[in-house]
Amino acid sequence: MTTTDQDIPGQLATLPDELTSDPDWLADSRKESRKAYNASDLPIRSVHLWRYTDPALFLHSNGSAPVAESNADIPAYTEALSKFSDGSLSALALDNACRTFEIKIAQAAAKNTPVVMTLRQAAIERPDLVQSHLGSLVGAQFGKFEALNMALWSDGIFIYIPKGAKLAEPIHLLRSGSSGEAWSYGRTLIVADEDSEVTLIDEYFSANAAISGKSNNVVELIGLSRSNIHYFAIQRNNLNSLSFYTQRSVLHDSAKTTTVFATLGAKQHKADVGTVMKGRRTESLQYGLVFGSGKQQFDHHTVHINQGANGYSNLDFKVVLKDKAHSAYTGLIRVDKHVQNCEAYQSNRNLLLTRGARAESIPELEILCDEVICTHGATVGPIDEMQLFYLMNRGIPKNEATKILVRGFVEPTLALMPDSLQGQIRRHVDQRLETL
Amino acid sequence: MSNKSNKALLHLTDVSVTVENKQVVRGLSLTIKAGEIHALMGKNGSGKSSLSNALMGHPYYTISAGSAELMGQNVTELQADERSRAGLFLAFQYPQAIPGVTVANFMRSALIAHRGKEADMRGYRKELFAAMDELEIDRDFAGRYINDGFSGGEKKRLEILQLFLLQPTMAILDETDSGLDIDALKIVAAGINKFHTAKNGILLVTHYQRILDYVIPDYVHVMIDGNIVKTGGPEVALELEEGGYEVFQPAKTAVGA
Ligand SMILES: Nc1ncnc2c1ncn2[C@@H]1O[C@H](COP(=O)(O)OP(=O)(O)OP(=O)(O)O)[C@@H](O)[C@H]1O
Ligand SMILES: [Mg+2]
Repeated sequence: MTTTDQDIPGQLATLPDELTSDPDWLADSRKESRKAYNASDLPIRSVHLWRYTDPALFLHSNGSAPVAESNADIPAYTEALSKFSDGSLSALALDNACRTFEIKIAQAAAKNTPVVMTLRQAAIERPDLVQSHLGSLVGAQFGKFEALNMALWSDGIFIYIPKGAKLAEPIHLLRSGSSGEAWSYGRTLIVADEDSEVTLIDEYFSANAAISGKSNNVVELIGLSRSNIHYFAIQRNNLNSLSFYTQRSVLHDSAKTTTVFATLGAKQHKADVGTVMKGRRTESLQYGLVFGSGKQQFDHHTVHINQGANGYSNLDFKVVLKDKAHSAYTGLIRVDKHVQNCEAYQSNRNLLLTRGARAESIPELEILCDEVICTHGATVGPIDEMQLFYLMNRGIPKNEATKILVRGFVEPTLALMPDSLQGQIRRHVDQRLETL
Repeated sequence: MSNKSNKALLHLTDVSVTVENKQVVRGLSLTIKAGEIHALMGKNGSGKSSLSNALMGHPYYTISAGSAELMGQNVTELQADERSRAGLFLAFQYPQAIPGVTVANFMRSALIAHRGKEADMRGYRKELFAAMDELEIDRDFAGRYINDGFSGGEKKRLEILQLFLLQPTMAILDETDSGLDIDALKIVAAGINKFHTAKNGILLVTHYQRILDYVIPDYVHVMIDGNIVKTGGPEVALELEEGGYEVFQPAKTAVGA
């Protein structure tokens, strides 16, 4: 610890004692990450990816440790528990403010039983699975606030899907945010071994509707050869909260992934999500569904990096905004040199329901090779007048017709999700559309 | 009863329609009574769709002069959805695709709008499927997105399906016969005849005599340059078929005078 560390705002002088009990390799990584965080400058506002969000918001601030609500006070957990008892989940994990955890794994044949444990426990018990992957996609060098997460993650979830395991039911992760004012740092590592298949529902919400929680979460998904990961992340924090979220997947030979990000909550949400298509013949389908109202501010960045031959990537990112909500979207497709025969598609559509709502869309292509088919498109605009007229022509009042069109806009994305999640998001969207 | 059947469903007096600051319908008058079928024929660009769209409340087409009454009510006082609920219906020449909204959900919402929020919708599926069967529309179409990827003929049939379910009092069918194959034309014509009663009226916009062999009009109007230049019985359509619009061209000044 140096004195200067303490003088600069946001600097992280020491690591909390509770984190130094980790295995040496992990404790060392935390120390390195702390240094990387302190040593890196605050991103400049004029710089790419920070034009729409003030980075100072995400600086570390000392404060009381995150507070976990009692599990019994989390209705989503009660609901998920009953689904688990019904046999409609392969596993259920409640991550309560990254402090306390409840993990349930359904009985199944050993070869189809996933490993689900807290990440810190996994670091101790399964270093063989954790050490090489943790931070491999989103490490201390990724960015200032990702380094901060790498230093300070208080805990999180580790999942391992064994070779050849095909989980019939989803694994549901419930992330109840802190109800304190301090930052909570959560981390998730998911390793899908060769030929495995899994569906994950990763749901972030505020346990307490009033308190402004602050969270910095990192999710790393490792898709080994021929694995197939379906990952559905939903963020429905309360409208006072601040959310910083970074996700990366890596796909090895012939691996596939479908990721859907539904952003509904938070006062301000900054997300950087993407897939590194490392192996050959990989397939990555990425979808976004954003609904904003009031003064919500969203800043999403999506990434598809094609490094292996014959990859296919498709991204479809949809945004609906009303009131004075604002969304900035930047989408990068990068195709490395010497990558042959890859296809990469990207589309971002923004539906503005009121005059005050604003959306920016900036596609970025870095294509360093010739053998590639690549398209991208972006639209920003109000409800289609002709579609509205068609519905009104059949007697449907304007307000109802508008709702039907918004639902229709999000429907194809919802249709990709597990049924329970579809219903939940549909209800959420309907509720938000009530005051149109 | 007889009094009722004499009532004008659609009563247009000197109606002008403007689109993009251009007058495309010029002082057109037309009255359609309950039980009547009127065919409206006319050259491309003569203003048939503009008139239809303006009557339905399309945002681009304005009734800039004259009066248009739907069962005695001035239509310009009503929003498009209110016109529909008042009994007016337009089958579009170019039906709109709406990805993401299924035919079944759409029709359900439309029926609720027409019958009131508290309507009993329990029999809805049955009703929908019965109408689909009648028009030989595959039931799978209920789950498809509105007109999304539909063939030309499929779109037209979907318009007639809506006509069936909504049972309007005054229906305008804008070139519903275009793009239909012979078999589909017969099915759609039979559908229109089945729909037609002494209580409703139909304005059938068409280019072809063919459909009029199945759906027999009481009146045939010929439209040129934004106005009706000739009105007569079914024989007018036959004259058109033989001589083309040239025959009617001179009539324009005569009627306009
Ligand atoms: N949205 C529009 N913007 C500009 N001009 C229009 C628009 N709609 C119609 N018009 C013009 O108005 C005139 C009448 O067009 P309309 O579509 O009513 O003709 P129509 O009789 O239905 O022709 P068709 O038999 O080809 O369907 C044409 O000159 C057309 O170009
Ligand atoms: Mg036309």
